[in-house]
Amino acid sequence: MSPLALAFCGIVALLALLFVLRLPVGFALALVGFAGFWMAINLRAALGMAGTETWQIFSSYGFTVIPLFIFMGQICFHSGVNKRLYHTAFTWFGPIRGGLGVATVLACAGFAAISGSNTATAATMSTVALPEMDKYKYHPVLGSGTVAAGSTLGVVIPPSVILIVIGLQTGQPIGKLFWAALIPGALLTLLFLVTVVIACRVRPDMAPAGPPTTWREKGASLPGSIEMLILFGLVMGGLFWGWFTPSEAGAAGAGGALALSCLTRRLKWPDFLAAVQDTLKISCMILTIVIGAVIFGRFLAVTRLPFALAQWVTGLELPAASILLCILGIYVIGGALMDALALLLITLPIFFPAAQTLGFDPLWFAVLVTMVTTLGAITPPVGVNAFIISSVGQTPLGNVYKGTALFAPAFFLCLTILALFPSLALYLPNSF
Amino acid sequence: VSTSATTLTYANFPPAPTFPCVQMERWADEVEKRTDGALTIETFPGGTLLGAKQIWRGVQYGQADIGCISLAYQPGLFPLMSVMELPLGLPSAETASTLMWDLFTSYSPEEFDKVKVLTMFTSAPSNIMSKKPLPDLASLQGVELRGSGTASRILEALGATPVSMPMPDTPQALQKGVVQGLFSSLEVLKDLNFAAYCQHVTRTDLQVYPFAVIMNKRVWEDLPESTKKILNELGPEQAAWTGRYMDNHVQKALAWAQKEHGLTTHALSATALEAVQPKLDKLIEEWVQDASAKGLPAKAVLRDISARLDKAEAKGE
Amino acid sequence: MNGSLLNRISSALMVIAGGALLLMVGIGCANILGRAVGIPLKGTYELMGYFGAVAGSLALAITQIEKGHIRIGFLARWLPRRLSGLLDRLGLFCSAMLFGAISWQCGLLAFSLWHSGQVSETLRLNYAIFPLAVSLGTACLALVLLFETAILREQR
Ligand code: NA
Ligand code: NA
Repeated sequence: MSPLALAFCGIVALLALLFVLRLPVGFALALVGFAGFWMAINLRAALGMAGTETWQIFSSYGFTVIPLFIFMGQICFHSGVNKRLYHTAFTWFGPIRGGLGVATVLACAGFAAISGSNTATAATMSTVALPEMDKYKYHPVLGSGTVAAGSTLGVVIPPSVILIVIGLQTGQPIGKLFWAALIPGALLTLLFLVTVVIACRVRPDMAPAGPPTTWREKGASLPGSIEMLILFGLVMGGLFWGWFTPSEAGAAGAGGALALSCLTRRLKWPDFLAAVQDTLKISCMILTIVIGAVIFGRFLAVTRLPFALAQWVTGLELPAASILLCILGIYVIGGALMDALALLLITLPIFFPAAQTLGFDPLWFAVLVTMVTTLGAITPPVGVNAFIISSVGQTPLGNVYKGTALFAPAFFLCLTILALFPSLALYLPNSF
Repeated sequence: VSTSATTLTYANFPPAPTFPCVQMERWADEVEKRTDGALTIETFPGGTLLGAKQIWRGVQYGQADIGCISLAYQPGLFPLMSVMELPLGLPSAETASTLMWDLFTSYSPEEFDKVKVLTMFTSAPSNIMSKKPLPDLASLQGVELRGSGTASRILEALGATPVSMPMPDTPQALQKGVVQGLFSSLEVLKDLNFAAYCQHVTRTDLQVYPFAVIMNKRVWEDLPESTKKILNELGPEQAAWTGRYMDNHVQKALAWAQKEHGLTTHALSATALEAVQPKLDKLIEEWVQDASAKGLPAKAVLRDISARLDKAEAKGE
Repeated sequence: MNGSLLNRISSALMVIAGGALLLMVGIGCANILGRAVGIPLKGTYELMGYFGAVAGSLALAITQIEKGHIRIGFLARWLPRRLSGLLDRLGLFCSAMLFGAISWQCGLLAFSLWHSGQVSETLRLNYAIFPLAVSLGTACLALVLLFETAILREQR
């Protein structure tokens, strides 16, 4: 079998394993990568590869920021930051029709600013927001859709695991990537808010107004957002003033969150233990996918498929814009079927060099890709955030997907605006 | 003797435009030319097949047939050849690369027994690049400079404070003032655009980074004798070529940085270097003790090196 | 070996992993604060990586036990029940073998690091214990997977 044919068989085998077996994504990637490397070279090489790659990823300094940024978010969650954030947003916007949805999107954006992962955002925000929405008789479709869409902000608004992974895989500075994602993240948040407001105008029955609140109550609720602002300020300000490097920002954020929750005495010992446990499990889940994707990637590299494909794409006599459209299309379709992080890790070595040859700015391209990747977390059939929200909220998965469909136009509008105006991503990193 | 064409894989870790990968492409081209296409090389730059610290084991396991390793990444593994990392005052990459290959062939150290060594070469000497002028030892005291491993010990000897961080973090760290400069060979001024942050160079020319290109032993033994002969002949030639390429490349980067960013070069005075020498000697002494403890002729190697360096200097290099 | 013993071992490993996570926060912050006063912590870079390896790998088993990994498998429900159960067992068994092999290889790596005299770059530590931890974590995961192969229950 020729190497390229072997690579093709490997990809088919991977899809079969993923879709037919209920096997963790990382395991399936590692199994196919291992078997493929074995066939392409020999068993000894495959054994050595699987062993050293596992050690290498786990012990890589670059990847240590992932658990640290997740830890920061989990400390905040278990010390009640999400609840207070939500309370503030609800006090301000709850009384208007659809205000609960507005509050949910804003609280998600706030939590996204202190957590690096969209699954962590989905898991924590759904436990806070879904019961409230239930209480005020929100339609479950709108409610779960709002939380699901809001949680995708987790990786668009910095800090972001996806941006970290892109930075590490392509050698882009993580600090610049964070700044580049800030305005697009705010734009996406805004479009989600517009979506909620329009949805409530069209279907008033879906979103009744909450109880009225006084200005005094509104003012009193403001301190609820202060911890989030302090920690986001610590991370981005620290990067801005040069207190620490981007790869140190995770430790600074987690340390800051610990210190803050000790000062406010809001993190009890059992909460602290729960935060550590959750962090370990979420990080382990992410790193397992990274390891699997790297093992699978080594197999693809040895067949030279990525090199051949990148050459082929750049050799196409097509305008850069249509190639960009193709790449984004592949991410949308792939993201529908697969775990988005795994898809990103497999495709990045192929598309990133191609994008660079076409003259795309790497920071802008990274933000675009991050946005389509996180969209994959809420599109059927495989949407990880949708799974989480369906199980936390005891809502049928179909309802969640109906809800997320409401937010698809916002996503595509945001992508279009960003594609047409790259300066939205490039202004901040180039001025700081 | 088999005449059928063989294809071998060659794994390298830094990005494609850097000098370890440039020499890899040159070597691959030469091999194909000289063997009339009987041996072709598929190159994998940028860690696409094996990461920096995986190449040594990966080649032995057969994950790649050939690989390029940086000796400094695995301290302790090469007790004899790590002599090349010491602050010996090597003036250029060409002198250092040729010296390294000569040392390897005359001592054939046991540490490389598990692989076939195809060639060896070094980086250009490391120097200090900084935002502010650091022309003397007094100005270097406590200045935070990026450098890890042996480089960090040399920086300490100079009085600076070494800070370790990954290379991709370094440009921003310089821009934001997390560190004031870095200690590395000077081609990064242009290749990684460090001249944009560092307008000052303090020449120390103390130390280089040694590299080795290794091949899986079984793969080597399966090659026809004629090919083996060609590869053996290419070894010293490739070492000298890479050294020359590196020196030229550094000169070009310096000229570019002077023209585009007004780079200023400072040199530590002879008295300053003399004042530092005892601390550097301590590093060398440590190596002698380590190597001697492993039964290696450490003192003889050092004598040999200074004799060869004197000879090179006499020849007017 | 029964399930509850495996659970206890996995939880014990997770406690060590949690300790490593806290050490990472401590070392990272100490380095930032130390640098602010001109005394950066030597070897932060390598220590963070090593403790990261402990934190990640020793949490593998418990994450699998508590079904923390992302899985897809949306075609499985259209397969005959017995066939899909059989396939799931096969997948789990193959994964167990793979992680067993990874554990064995990380053990070999630790062994060779212990004996080769190789040390870390800045602190010059013999760091064989860290790949050994990864070996331990993957071994425990392999056992969990084997156990799950044997007692596969209907999922979802
Ligand atoms: Na975030
Ligand atoms: Na999806």
